[in-house]
Order: sequence, then structure tokens, then C-alpha cells
Amino acid sequence: MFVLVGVSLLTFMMTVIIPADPAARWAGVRATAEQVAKARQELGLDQPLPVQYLRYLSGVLRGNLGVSVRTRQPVMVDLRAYLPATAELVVVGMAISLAIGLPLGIWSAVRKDTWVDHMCRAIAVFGVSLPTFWLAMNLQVLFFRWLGWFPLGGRLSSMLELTTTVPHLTGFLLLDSLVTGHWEVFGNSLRHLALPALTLAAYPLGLVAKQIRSSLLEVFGEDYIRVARAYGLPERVVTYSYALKNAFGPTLTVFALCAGYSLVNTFLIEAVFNWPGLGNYTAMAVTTGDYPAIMGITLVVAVMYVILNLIVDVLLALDPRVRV
Amino acid sequence: MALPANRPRPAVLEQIRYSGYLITKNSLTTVGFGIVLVLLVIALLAPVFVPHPEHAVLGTTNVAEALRPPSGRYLFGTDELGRDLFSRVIYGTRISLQIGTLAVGLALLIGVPLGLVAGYLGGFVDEVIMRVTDIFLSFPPLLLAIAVAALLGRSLTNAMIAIAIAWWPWYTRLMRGTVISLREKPFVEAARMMGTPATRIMVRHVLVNSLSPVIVQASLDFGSVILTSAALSFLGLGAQPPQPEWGLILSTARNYFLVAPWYSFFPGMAMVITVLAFNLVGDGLREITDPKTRRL
Amino acid sequence: MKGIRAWSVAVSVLLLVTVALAGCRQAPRAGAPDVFVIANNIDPMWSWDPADSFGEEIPVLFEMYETLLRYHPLQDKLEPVLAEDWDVTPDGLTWTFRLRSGVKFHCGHAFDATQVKKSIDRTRERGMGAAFIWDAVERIDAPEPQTVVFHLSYPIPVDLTVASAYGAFMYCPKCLEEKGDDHYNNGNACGTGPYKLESWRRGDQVLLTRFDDYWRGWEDNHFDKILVKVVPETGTARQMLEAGEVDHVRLLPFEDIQVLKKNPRFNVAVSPSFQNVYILINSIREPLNDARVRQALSYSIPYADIIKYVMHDYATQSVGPVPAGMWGHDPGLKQYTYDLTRARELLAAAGYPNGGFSLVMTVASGDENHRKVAEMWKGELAKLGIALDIRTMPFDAQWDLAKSPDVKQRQDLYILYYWPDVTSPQAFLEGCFVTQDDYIIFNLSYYSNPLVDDLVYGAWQAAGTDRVRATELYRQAQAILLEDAPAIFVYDMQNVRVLNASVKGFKDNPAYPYVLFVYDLYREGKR
Repeated sequence: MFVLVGVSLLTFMMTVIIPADPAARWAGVRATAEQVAKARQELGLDQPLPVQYLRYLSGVLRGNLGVSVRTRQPVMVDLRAYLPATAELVVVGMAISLAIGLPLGIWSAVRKDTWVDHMCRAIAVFGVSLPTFWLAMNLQVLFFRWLGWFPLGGRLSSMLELTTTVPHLTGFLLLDSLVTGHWEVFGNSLRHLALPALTLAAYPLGLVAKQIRSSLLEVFGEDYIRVARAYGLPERVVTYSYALKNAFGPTLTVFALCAGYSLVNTFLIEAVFNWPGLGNYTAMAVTTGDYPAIMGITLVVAVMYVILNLIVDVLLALDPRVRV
Repeated sequence: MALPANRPRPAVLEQIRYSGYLITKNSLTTVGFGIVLVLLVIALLAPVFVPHPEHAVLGTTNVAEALRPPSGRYLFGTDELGRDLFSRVIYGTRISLQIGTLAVGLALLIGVPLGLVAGYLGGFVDEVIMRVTDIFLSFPPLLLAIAVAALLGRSLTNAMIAIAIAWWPWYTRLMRGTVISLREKPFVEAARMMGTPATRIMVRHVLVNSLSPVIVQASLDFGSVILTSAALSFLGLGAQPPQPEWGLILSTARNYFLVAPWYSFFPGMAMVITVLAFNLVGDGLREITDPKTRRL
Repeated sequence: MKGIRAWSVAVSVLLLVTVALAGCRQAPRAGAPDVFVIANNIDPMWSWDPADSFGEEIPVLFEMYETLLRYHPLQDKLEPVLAEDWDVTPDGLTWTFRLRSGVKFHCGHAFDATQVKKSIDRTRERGMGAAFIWDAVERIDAPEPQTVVFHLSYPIPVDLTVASAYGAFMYCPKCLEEKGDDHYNNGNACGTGPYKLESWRRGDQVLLTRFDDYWRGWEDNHFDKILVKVVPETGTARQMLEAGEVDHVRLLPFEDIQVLKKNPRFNVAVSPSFQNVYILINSIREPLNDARVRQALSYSIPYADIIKYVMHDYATQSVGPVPAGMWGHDPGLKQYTYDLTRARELLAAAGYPNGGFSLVMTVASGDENHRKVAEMWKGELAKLGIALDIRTMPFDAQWDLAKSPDVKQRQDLYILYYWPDVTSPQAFLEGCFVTQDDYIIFNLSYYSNPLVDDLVYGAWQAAGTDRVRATELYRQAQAILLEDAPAIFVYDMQNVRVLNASVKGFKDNPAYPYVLFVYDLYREGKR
């Protein structure tokens, strides 16, 4: 709770020190001095700072994040419209990173110091060293320009978008089209999702693999594993039944950190792939200097990040095996 | 007095020598160190061997040669204004290493003293500093950097400040943890009982002995900081044209990637190699300093 | 190794599914409505209220709303649209328009003189966007259902004003009375145009569909719908064009256009435009307050290289502030050349033989052409000993800085696209070069010359009745501006429109930038 108040205070302070005059922006390009003064009054910018903060806070609590200068819509409305596409991307990307990262890390730990380990570690380090947007651009060149397998960007082909309407259930296009049996949309959106999701997976993949490897190695050094081995339990049982369970805790923490990171990483990925989500919205807000939108997103993402970390803490606390 | 003050020195020397041994033992780390050294040399000697320094330093244009693919004349091809990309990418090394050093340095400069004070003094001061740290830590670093950079206005300096603002709390937290574990150690107690002033103890005994985890973390962060600054430039929040900053070059290249796919390749590769090298070094250092995974 | 096997199976299945799906591409359907698809690099709809619009909205608005007249500037001809004919009293102060009958708004209400009066009166009262074009209007009367009379306080060419691309739309005032004054700004539309609004999503797309009761009527080959998709990435837009998903891309880099031009599947239409590019020089700051320094800057621009390598010959070097093709443009006026020797002499005469000062130039972020111009110029200025500090920033930030109350904060050089509201030389000269003390519009040179002010205002008052005199006054004003050099007149742009070759009937009208008038288009063959 304290952290949340702090977060709101920090974002508020950032909105105050904005270099540009929001009132002038609000009043428009050809505004006169009087129009600007009127806008300042309307926006409450003539009030003392603590009053402004309280107004801001009460607004935030009621879901009012201000109005975007670029779209002229409440930032909250925009966020709600763009969030599902981003969530879909993050979920699929994170799933891919788990699907590849976990086995990679485990394999690496089991075969520690063999060529397998070196290769897995190299892949992992490579994953965290790639500039996201560069990876995205290269995937585009490779899979769109040269191979022609995947589309360059967007979430759905425009003709398909025009001719079919998938009911809006969850906002996850994949899920909605699957449930309602729009196979063409499902396939099309999967093809559109492939490259951005792979790009997103690269970073968490490396970290997850690295973390599960080092946690496993740590656990392998523990007495109870040595005891288990001494009892002659098969290595497979030792690894999967005993060690892995205990190595999951720290990996979960890293995974949550990654999810938060990926949420921000979408800013770059969506901009490159023209994915109609929060990230693209933010990138546009940044290029057009749309401060209310930037601050609104900062606040919302920070809150999501805090909650995510809280969930992980709770999960870890519920698990008696985890030593804090 | 002489004993505790001199105590760490020989140990540090020995540690360095021993670490050197361990570094050469781990091949990946050796490679990382090797690349970093090469990069430093490249950055220092750039003016000597680059064919068109004016394309990088002044941004002089040569439009008649725009968007030439790589060839013997232009190793990495040319950009949309006919500038030699090889020269620009090589000069970009200087900028990236500068960014890494300055941004991480600034973050350390803010984070370490705060962590030291918080950890050593404890109590109310600790409470306040750590609450502020918590608030900063509740933002994903890239997000905070973007928000701050957007507020400060577009320039490379501002991007570095933004990154430092996003990174310092990590060092504060790390430093505080180490300091707390050291606070009750006999040699600190001894110094305290001898009536050494608190600031002197903090600097000469605690700080010196708690730096190694922070240094390891900083070398690990070097790579992410370079990536983050490139991301800021990519979004238009960092370097300004015609600076040969890798992120900015990539951001421009994006406009031409269908016409000139090679354009983005080399600056990106340069960045991958640099970040990779620092990550390898950081990982290696961590393994060496972490007793749990330390191998003999 | 059971766990690993399960994972690898899962991964392989995932990869297989993706690859398999990659293979199947969808085929176009038959019998579907013929949709004209436009890829726009930005959200076209900033403001939905036709009274406020002063920017990127007009390509969409002109499909839904109409003006009384339409101007064809290359022929200098006015085409009747909602007005059938008009006349003016000899003093130029009273203009009478007779309206077309049988015109309906999308909501079903009839269009008549009262609606014209209410539309324009509301636009003037709101005072947003381009409302200033009506400044000379004292009163509008609607004596008969099909007759509108404009009473002016000073003479202006009202026929050009009612054909303006901005601020002259006829919209349904009844809808506003019934549904509230915010009705349009909430994302609704009601005009007399051929297409009506079907649906839209902010930042994503706008879908228009044909209005069955349109007064010109419908034939088979008109398009049924117009879809405007927001596609910020030009690479993506080009891909969609090549894949036959869109008919027209609003903005493409010239590098891409050069490639598409060679492909018979696309029609690259090049025509004159009234858009030109100025570099406005801060004329109140040392050392730029010396006209010789400003002239030196004008001599230091590599015009030919910019036109050839940045604009790929889709532009010509400007002669004065009024673009070629518009009345009032005079090709005989002075034209600066790229001449560093001359620039050095002028700098020396002004007391800066080796330069020795630095200038800040702001460039709107994301504009490749302007950035390239700035970077090329930087090299030339360096040869004169002048350091150019290029700062890219969002347009809004650039704009705020230019109008900063603290004069010291303002930039030295501002590179600006300019295009007219009312298609006349007045838009260029009044917008950028008359004294703007109380508040600055586009005079970002902060230039003030009473002589120019008098000439420009005098010309506009003469324009409605005595075109020859107006032209002469504009010529004199431009001659002064070229000598005084408060701005560098870099190039006049050409309109380059990229369309799928199956789309026929396209004629660009430079008075209405980016407007396609889709009603006039039709399709032959397949996209």
C-alpha cells in the first residue's frame, strides 16, 4: 500500500516537472493567451501542488488517469482498449520462453561443464544480450522479406479484419477466435503473433535458463541431495523429484521479474511489428510527447509490476520448502 | 589501528591474482574479457584506422553515395546520406562505452553512498532511504528510464541521467545488505571501540570490504545499460543526429530495411558483441565471487 | 528424461502448427462489397468536428462533408458543389450564393440556406481551427431557402473562402441541436457527402459506407466502402500495398516509391502541390538579426543535392514563399543558389568572416526528409565556421519551444512544411510573414516589417475584385521578403500518390492535400 502511494507520488511529481505546458497543448495550436489561461483553469493547473496531487490521486482511484493529448480520449479508455493485445503477446511470449528456457536450463545443469552446458549457457547469454528491436528487425528481414513465411506486422490481415467480426470475449484474439470457431482468424492471428512473440521470448528465455541452471546446481550441492544420491536413487528421480521442486522458487521470482520486463519490452517490439497494443501506444506517446499518456502508462505498469511481485511473494510464502 | 586498516589490502591483491587465474580457467569468461579489451582498443584507436572519421564525428554527408551495399570501399555499406557505416559503427563503440561507464558510474555514485549510510546507521535513516528505494524499484527500470528521459528532453546526456535514475536503487539495496552483514564483524567493532569516527569507519572499513558484490553487479549491468540507452535512442529519446550512436543508427535503418537490409545488420551486431562480452565478464565475475558456485 | 521429452514434444508441435499455418494464405472472397482501403501513417481523426478540423482529418472529412464550391487551382477554376452559382457586388462586400436543391444530410434532414448560415456561424463562434478564414464576414443572411448572402466588413474573395480545405464544411446543425454540441467531437458525423460514417476505432481505423441518398446518385462502379487503416510503419504499409491489401498508402519514403514506380501493378501519380518547405530564421536574435547573415544562410543550402537525393526529384527549388502553380507566384523573382563564396562574403561584410557562432535547429521527430536536410546543411555550415545543433523533438514540443514566452529559449532555425488553408498567396504570406505581436501563428521568424504587412493585407482586400492589383501587391511583398530573407525557401513539393493500378479516375487536386475524392474513383480489374 505504501509503495503504491509512493508510486503515485513519484508519477505525479513527474507530471509536474514536465517541460511543456499542458495547458498550451490542450488549448491547441492556434490558441491565444486567454484560451491558454482558460485551459489552465479548467485543468486545475492554477491550484497549489498538494491540492493538485490530491485531485490527481482521487482521480486515479476512480480510474481517471487524465486525457491523452494525442488521442483526446481518457488514458484509461485507451489503456483498456490496448491492453488485451499486449497481454496476449506477453502471455504467449512468456509461454514460449518457459517452454524452451526450462528444458535448456535443466539440461545444462544436469550436464554441467560438458559441451551441452556450454552451448546452453551461450544461448542463454546470447538471449539476454540481443537488442530487442534489432532482433525484431532481423526476424522481419528473414521471415518476411526472404522466406515470406510470416507477415511483417499487425495483428490480423486488414481484409480479414473487415470481413469477419470475432466476438469480443476476452480480447485475446487467439482465444476468442478459437472458442467461437473462427478458424481463419485463428490461423491468421497466430501467424501475425509468431514473430513478435518469439522476439519477446528471447530475453526471458535466457534468464530463465540461467536461473534454473544455477538454482539446480545450488540444490545439487545440498546435503539432502547428496543423501539421496548416496542412497542410490536414480539420477532422474533425484533431479526431477527432489532437486527441481526446490529450484523452482528462485526461478519463479526471476520469471515474474521477466514478465514485468517483457511488459515494457513490448514498447519496442510492438513499435517494430505495428502490434496494436499498449507498447505501440506508448511508443507513439513518446514520439508525440503525449505526457499524460506516458505518465498514465508508467503508473499502471508500475502498479501491475508491484502486484506481480506481490503474487510471487505470496506464492513463495505459501511454499514451505522455500527458504526466505 | 594499523591492523584493521591494512587488513584488506593483501587479501584484495591475492584475490585479484586468484580471480585472474579463475578467469583464464573459464573459457567463456576469457572470451568476454578478450572482447572487452579489443573493444577498448577499437574505441581508443578509432581515429587512426577508420577510413572516414568525418562521417562519424561531424556527420558530413555524401549523398551521391547513399545506401550502397557493403563492398571493399564501404565495408558495412553506406547510410541514407552516403556516410560510411563502418566508420560510424566503430565510432559508435566509443559512445556506447562512454554511456555504459557514465551511466553506471552515476548510478553507483548515487546508490552506493545511500546504501552505505542506510546499512550502517540503520534505524530511521535506513527506513527512509529504503522506502524511497522501494518506490523506485517498483518501476521496471526500462519504463522508468523512458518516462524520465521523455521528461528531461531528448539528448544523450539526459538519457544517461535517466538510466542512472532507474538503476541506482539496485545498488543501494545490494550495498545495504552487504553493509549490514559487515556491520557486526569483529574488525568493524574493533574500529568502533577504538573511537574511530563513524564516517571514517564507513569509508575505510565497511565500504572497502563491501564493494565487490556491487562491482560485480555493475559489470553485469553494463550490458543492460548499453541496451537500454540504445532502446531510448531507438524511441527517439537519446542520441541526436548525426551522433553515430548504435541505437539511433538502428532506428534510422528501420526506415530503409526493405530497400537496404544490410544497413541495420552491422550496428546491431556491434551492439550484440559488446553486450555479450560484458554479460560474459559479469557472469564470470559473479561465479568467482559467489562462494556457492566457486570452483577450485 | 520424461519431462524434457514432454517439453520438446510441446515445442515441436507449436513450431509445426506455426509453420503449417504459415503456408496457408487466404484467398479473396467474391461478391463482397468493393472497399477502397487506405493505409494512413497516423490516426487521421484528431478532431471529428468539421468546424475545428485544421489538419490531417480532411481526407476523411471530404468523403463525408462537402463545401459550397470546390477550387481547381491549376486551372484557376471554381466548380459548383452545394452552391450552383454566385455573384458579388462591385464593392466586393456582398456575396450571394444560390444553393442546389434536393440535397440531404446523412441523417435525412434537408440541406438549405439556414443550415449554411448555422454551420458557418457555429464554426465562427467556436473560433477553433481555421475559423479565422471567416474573419471578414460581418453577417450571413438566408433570405430564401436556396439563397445565402455574405455581408463583409472588408472585401475578401469569398468564393475562394467557401472552397477552403479547412473550416468551410457544411454540416448538419440539426444533429447538434438534437444530440448536443459535442455530438461530432464524440466521434459522429453528418454531412451531405457521398459516404457516411459506419464505425471507427481511435488510433486504428475509420470505416465509411456509401450514403444512398447522395445527390449525385450512384452507379455500379463506385466504391461501396472506404476503410482507412492506421499503419504507422511505412515498411508494413508497403507490404500491405504489395500484397494487394490496400489501394493507397498515404505516405511512403521516396526510396520505396522509386521501387514501386517500376512495378506496373502500381500507379505513382505525380502532380504539383501547394506544400512547400521553409526554414524560418529567428530574425530577432544576434547574429541573425542582420539580413546579410540571413542571406548568407540562404546561399549555404545545397538545393540541388537536396532535391535530387532527399526528394528524389519529387520537388523543385522554390522561388519565393508562394509555390509554383498558384496565382501570385512569380518565377521572375530572385532565387538563391548554393554559393558558399557568396555566403562567405556576406558573412564577412556582417562581421563574421570565419563564422564562429552556433545555431540551434529544431526538427520534428520522425520526419526523415527534414532530418536529412538538416544533416546535409550541417556539413555546409561547418565549412562556413557555423556550428549547427540539430534537435529532433515531437512536433508539439518543437511548437511550444518556438512560442516560448522566454524569447531566449526559442530556436534559431525552424524547418516547416507549409500549405494553405484558403488556396491563395494570402495563406502563405499572412500565415508566416506579417507582424504577429499579440500572438504568433506561423511567423516563427518573429519577423516584422510594416511595409510587408500593408502590402499583404492590401492584396487580400483587392483579391475579390481586382486580381491583377492583388497579384502585383503580392509580388512586391515577396520581393522584399527575398531581400530581407527572414526564411529560406527551400523547395516546393510535388504530390506523389501511390495507388493500386486497378484504381482509375484519380486526379490530384493540390488545394486539398491528400484528399482522394473516392466517389470519383472506380476499379478496373483486380487489386
